[in-house]
Amino acid sequence: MNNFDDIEAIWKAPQSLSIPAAAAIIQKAAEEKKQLSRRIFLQSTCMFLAIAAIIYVVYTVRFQYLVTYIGLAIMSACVIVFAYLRFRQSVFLNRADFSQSPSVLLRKFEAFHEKQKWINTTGVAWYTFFLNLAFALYFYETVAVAPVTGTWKIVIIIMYIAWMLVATLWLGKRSIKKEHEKTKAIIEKIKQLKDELA
Amino acid sequence: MKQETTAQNNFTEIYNKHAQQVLRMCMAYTDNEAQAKDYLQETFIKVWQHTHQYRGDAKISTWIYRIAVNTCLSNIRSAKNKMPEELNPHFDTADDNCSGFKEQHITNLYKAIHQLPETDRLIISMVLEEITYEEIAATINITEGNLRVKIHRIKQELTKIFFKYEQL
Repeated sequence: MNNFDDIEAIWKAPQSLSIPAAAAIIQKAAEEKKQLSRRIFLQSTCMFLAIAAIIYVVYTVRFQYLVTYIGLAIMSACVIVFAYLRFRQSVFLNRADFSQSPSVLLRKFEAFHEKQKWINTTGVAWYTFFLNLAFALYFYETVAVAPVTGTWKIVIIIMYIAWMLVATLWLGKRSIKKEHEKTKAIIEKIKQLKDELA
Repeated sequence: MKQETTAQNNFTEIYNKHAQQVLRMCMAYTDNEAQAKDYLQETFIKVWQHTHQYRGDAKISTWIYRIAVNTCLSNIRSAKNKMPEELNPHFDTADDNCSGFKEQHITNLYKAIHQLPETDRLIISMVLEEITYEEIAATINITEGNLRVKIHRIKQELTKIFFKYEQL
């Protein structure tokens, strides 16, 4: 035993590998599809609920200042644009064609990563800016000039700032970091593959 | 409904024909049997979900191997840097009389394959599965000439590592 033919003979030895049933694979694929649909449904529902809440406020409360309406319009735009971008990202990840050549797959993932980076840095910065602007405009009438006590005004503003800080500096940063690590890891892997095949 | 049943039957036929080969490829790639089975499942879930993307310009087997290769390679192994684990024989041998002897060879062969770079593991497993050079080249998207050079080098490397294990 000392050449490659012996290795081939060992590999060809009768083997009985236990494999999952085809039906189990089909079922798992269906479950994955359901999970994705559920996630998209949940995201869409959240978006529609937010928009519905804004529309409800607009139709039930008669605001006196135009800036309040502008604030609500900016809020709606933020929700719609952000939900749309997130939806496109999840569609890309779920529709990635793994039967393409590794180099094509790499290019697509790199382009995706560039977009993801833009969304998570510049995009999120603009989102935060516009959302805060929208709330500032909204709060002008509902908090600043509203007939509420000074203490309540302070409580509402502190609560809002605390929520914004938690959402952007803690929750947001954590999820962005996780997303980047995942995409970067995939790209690294495909790059390595490209180098090995060069 | 009838269309769905036909699709399921077609898939089952394809799966039964290629699953064993794909599983052996996955086992050559990873040193963990459960993980290999996960890769197999992931590969065929993609096959099922993306059947409509198969354009028929390549053999169905080439298309499946490419999905398997990309699935294996794009999976990030959390235990990538840990020492290779002691291998359990990956399969039951048909001949019980010499199973211990065979298992040792097979264990050594998998150990040797796992010492190769990741793409080399997949290439050599396809060679051992007697997949044509044309199909392997199409799967990993390199020229046949380049592939031949690679295979020659991988065979030498694997033979050297394997017989080192055999002498231990």
